[in-house]
Amino acid sequence: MRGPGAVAVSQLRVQQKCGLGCPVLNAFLSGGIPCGTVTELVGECGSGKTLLSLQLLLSVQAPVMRGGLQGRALCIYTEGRFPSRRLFELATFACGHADGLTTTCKSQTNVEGESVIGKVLVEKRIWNGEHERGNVLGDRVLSRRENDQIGRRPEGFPVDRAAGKENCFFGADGGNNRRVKRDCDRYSEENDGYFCGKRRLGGDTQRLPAQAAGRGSQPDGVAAKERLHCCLNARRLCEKVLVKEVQTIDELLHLLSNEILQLLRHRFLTPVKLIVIDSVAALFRADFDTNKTDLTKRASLFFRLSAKLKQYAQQFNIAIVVTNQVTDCFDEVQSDQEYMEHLMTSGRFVRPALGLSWSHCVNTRLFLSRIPQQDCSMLHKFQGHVRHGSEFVEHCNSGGGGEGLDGRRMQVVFAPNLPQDSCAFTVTRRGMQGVQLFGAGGMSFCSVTSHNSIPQNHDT
Amino acid sequence: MEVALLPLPTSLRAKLFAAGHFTTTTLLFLTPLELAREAQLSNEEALSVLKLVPRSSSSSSSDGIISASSALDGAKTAWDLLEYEKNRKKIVTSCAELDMILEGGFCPKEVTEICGVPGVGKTQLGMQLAINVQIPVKLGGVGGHAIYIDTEGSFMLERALQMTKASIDELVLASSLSSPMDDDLIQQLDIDTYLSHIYLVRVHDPTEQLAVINNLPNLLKEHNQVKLIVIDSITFNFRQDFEDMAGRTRLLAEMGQKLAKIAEEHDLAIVLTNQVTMKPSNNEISRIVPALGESWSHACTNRVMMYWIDTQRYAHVVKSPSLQAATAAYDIDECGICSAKNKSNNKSNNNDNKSNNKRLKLDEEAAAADSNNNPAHFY
Repeated sequence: MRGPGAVAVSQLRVQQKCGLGCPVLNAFLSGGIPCGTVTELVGECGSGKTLLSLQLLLSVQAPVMRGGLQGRALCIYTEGRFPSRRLFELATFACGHADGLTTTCKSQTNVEGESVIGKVLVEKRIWNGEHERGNVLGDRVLSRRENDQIGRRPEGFPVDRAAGKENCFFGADGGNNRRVKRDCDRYSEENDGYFCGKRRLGGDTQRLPAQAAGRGSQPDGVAAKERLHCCLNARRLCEKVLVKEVQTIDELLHLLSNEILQLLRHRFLTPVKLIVIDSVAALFRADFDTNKTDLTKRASLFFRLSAKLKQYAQQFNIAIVVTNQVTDCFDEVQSDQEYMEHLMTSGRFVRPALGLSWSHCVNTRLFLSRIPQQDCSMLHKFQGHVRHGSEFVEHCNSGGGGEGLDGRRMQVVFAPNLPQDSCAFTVTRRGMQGVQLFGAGGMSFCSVTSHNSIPQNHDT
Repeated sequence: MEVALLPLPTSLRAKLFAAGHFTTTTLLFLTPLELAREAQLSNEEALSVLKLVPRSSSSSSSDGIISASSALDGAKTAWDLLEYEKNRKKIVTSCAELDMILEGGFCPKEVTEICGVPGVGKTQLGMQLAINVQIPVKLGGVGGHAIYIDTEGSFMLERALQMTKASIDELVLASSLSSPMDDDLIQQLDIDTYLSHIYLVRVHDPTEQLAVINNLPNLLKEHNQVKLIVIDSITFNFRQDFEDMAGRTRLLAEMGQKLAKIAEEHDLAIVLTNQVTMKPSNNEISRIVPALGESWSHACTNRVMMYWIDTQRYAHVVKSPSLQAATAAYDIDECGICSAKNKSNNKSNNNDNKSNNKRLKLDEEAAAADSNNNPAHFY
């Protein structure tokens, strides 16, 4: 047997990356999560791992020029319920929910009651689910005529006919909404135990527009249509997310060799481009004791799982993200802890769960941490602009506190293509957004407060 | 040459002895038919025996006197070896301290193993070597190509590009300062050329890995300017479920032997990356040891261990027939491997009073470890 052949490196192409949905974080990770490798998100409870994975499930669907991979996502979750509601909420923001918008185009409706500080530039990332044109897991095939009637371009971008340019607010699309809604309803939902995020939302989609009605003070007619349209687009995004619950590692290995392989091989119009496993620690922590035989067995399972994941990642050119928990370091000067860089979160030392063997199984490790408020350097007076996601906000001289916010950081523990660095981020309803400081005297722990009058800053 | 040294089945050898053939000089001038008749062999057997007889010119020069070089065919004198070792070009690592502890760099005809925890820089070092092996001969380098066998998926093109660019820039600067560059050199110092001389092989399971290693001679015939083979990592595929651990050991030993043979025959350097694992010792404190067990330790010529002490990376020569045990600090920046940088205590982002003290304490330990050349954690 000859084995695989050698390829000159000059013939390779640079690996595609899956953006995180935030320009600051994307720049920090030099494009995003790379395809063909396994990336691990480590953090304590509530540090943002699940949120980031939800965000990835959506951002992978964006077209390539907007930092996505134009593909579907598969989420394997092992801990409790899949947070479909939160996913839907993130999707509505991605589709331009009222709270997420401010105006640059003249044709927009002005959202009153939303005060804007200084110059606010919002990059609208509005992208939409694609119409499938093939026999795809039960989705109904739309005829070309129906497609044209809906008035969408093949890529699915809504076009603002009035302004003649792409990516504007879709208030102008009022007339098409009913048809879109009907078509959405006709999409069939289920296949073989996978269900699209939408199904779980069955009851929720009806309620959400009404909930959304509480925000902003727009004239009702346009606002309602906007929100409906937005929700429908969000539903479409959620439809591209396939979800599966798994309880044990054996089940996962079996799935990987069978159903998941079939899924990856299936010729979708938008192929699967991202697999998220949330979390991998839960699969291993229950079944194995700490005696030597169990640990060795567990370690060999790590390598089997990782080998399979890496093989698929390279073969199908997809990105794989796994999440992991942390355990406390009880004795700070234990000799066996020296092998890993000390990670701190919430004021205590921790290390990633599953041990040294698992560390060898991942290519990239990103550590999400929380720094309690009192440790943040609050005395520093920061002047200048803060880039908060895609917004540039002028940061006022806040010598005061962060109003109960924890500083949050994403740190690269090791990666083949990134230096060891860290980046601050915040968590809002819109999701996770990186924070970048411009101006005099940027300091590492600046807890950002943007003095918006819209109550936005909720955690998780 | 003694007939007893020929690789023959015992029965055949006994027949040859019975016919009076104890040395090959007596076999040299026989035809197969004559030998078959004399020693009562079949024609095929006689032919196979005569095929094995070495026919070097020195043995036929003096009848009856067996010259030293024919008795041990293929052997070289120690003087030859010394001359060779003095003159061979080594592959530098771009970090002066690392080169110093390796006494110049990575040598051809040797298998070197690099072990370390994840994130310490094994893949980066492998990539750096694949780039540095291509330094043109005119600039003091080896000027060869590299084969990179990737088992973990850590080889990233963008990082290789970054490192290549930095290396070429440095070389161009250095060479243009000393003498004007000729066209040949300019052609060699080009990013595309560099990248086209690194051959990447991606393997996914133990069978593929063994197949690739078995097939290496063919691959080397095809790309005959290869002077470096990097296998990153050699361990990953072998830590999965192996029910038969003895079988695994056998496979590994075979693999190690093959690699040593290839390094020797084709005059190239082989660099292996290994993982580490925890080995509990009697007093409950676990040590970090290279993976794949004790028997694998014998497969490599040199072994270098890389580890962290706080925020500083160190490399330590653990095993070598010719290098002394030494430690060097190094760092990794956007250009690749480089010498250790002076780190002020404020630089690290996760600063805290607690971790500051910790760092100071560990630095003292590191200083102590350095001076003894015997880091506390390793054997």
